[in-house]
Amino acid sequence: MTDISQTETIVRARILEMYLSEKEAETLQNDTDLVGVLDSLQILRLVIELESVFAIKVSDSDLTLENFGSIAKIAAFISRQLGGATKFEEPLAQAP
Amino acid sequence: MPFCLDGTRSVPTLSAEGDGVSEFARPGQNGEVVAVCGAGAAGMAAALAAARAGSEVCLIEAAAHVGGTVAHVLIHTIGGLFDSGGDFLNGGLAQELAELLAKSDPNVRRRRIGRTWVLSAAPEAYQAVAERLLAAEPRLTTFTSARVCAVEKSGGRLTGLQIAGPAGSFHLQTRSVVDATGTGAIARLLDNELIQDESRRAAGGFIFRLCGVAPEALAWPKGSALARALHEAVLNEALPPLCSQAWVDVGVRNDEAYVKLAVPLPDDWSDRDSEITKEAVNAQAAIVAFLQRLPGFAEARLCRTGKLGVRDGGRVSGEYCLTVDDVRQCRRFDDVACRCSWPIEYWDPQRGLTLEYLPDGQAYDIPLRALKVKGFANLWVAGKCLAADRLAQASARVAGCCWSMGEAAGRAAAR
Repeated sequence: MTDISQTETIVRARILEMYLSEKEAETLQNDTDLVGVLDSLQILRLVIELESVFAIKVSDSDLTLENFGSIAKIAAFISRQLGGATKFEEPLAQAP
Repeated sequence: MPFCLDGTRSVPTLSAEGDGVSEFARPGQNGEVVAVCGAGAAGMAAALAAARAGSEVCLIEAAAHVGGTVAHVLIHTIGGLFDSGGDFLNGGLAQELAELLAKSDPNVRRRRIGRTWVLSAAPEAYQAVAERLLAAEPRLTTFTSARVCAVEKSGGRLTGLQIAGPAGSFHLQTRSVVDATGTGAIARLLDNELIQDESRRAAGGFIFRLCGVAPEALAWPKGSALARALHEAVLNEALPPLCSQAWVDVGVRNDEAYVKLAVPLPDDWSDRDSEITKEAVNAQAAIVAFLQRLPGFAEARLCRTGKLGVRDGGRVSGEYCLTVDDVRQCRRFDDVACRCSWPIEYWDPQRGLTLEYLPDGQAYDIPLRALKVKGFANLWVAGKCLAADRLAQASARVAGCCWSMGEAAGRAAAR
């Protein structure tokens, strides 16, 4: 498993745990467009969660479709925020 | 001397003759009517259903216009019409309303919010469609700016209502009555013990609409950034505390935004000039000024302010009390009035919104007994003040569900 895919797994797990039903989970892929899946309030809660899990800071200007439009885009954004680190054991250790 | 009203007019003007109280009657009728009190979602549906079932109906509304919470509080996303897959849940008048709205305005659309589907429609379009529906019923007469000031009962029946209107008082002989006032106002007149009031009410909603917003200003997920910016501004004391749970949503048109504040309700919430309303209006001005400094909002201006919305104004005691367990278990009842799949959307006055979704694809029944007022053979209730516990009401109170509840209560009242 690559680091990006680990991040994708964590982001996906958070979204499923917080918001989606089992039926919706079946159709949620890493490249699924999250517009229409999560509303702004849910995105905000997800951001707070990700800031805590990955020890990153998401600024208002980061909240764009390019950074949050899909699980894959969120994982890539987190990776960039972490400076392209190949390992992030600390964040993973905080995950359930 | 009875009033003889032209039944094709939806909002007749009354003129009392002499000093006495006049009786409402139509030519050829004995004067007994189905009286529906409150012309919000539930009341309009009840009146339409009863009239279509063949009854003479009087719809009594305290405000100057029909439309209730959706029209006057400024709700632009109507919940409770659709199931979790986005299909109509109940059909009937709720579906008829949605389809008429879609025909009346090209901006009306089904929209997803979280795990729910809502109908995005301008409150003005909703009011216009509702008025047309009411005006099309020849057996239905609507009285606006009219209040029920007294009720008459005999045994376990309501036999009459005393109405005070702008042109004088009049009397209705009632075959049956539907309390769709949202606060159980008719039941309160009978007996305060019939009402379950929360000592700590769900927060109210204060909504205003901005126009002139740049279309990309709220492009997903920028609403999140706005909500966070507002929250941080409250923490920094740049905005008043009432803005701490402010929410900015895309409008029906792409140059609009709706801003919603959660407002703790004091005892005097019904007074339009209450302190909390003044606070909300001040918060509105502060938010508009704050937003105008953000990208996409430079040209934004306030274009309409809603009335303070009350989510739970008291619930009536019914033959059955719908419980949160019924909602969570998606319980079915033999005497089903309508179905609802809206999440338990409770607005705690301190902690804010909590949402508890029903299992995917599931819905619960609202039994007709929860719309029948305890101890009265001909008194029904529909809408926000149905017989339910606090959290069950937090799901059942949404407008789409109120239309379906009202339809069932109206049909029952016409039997």
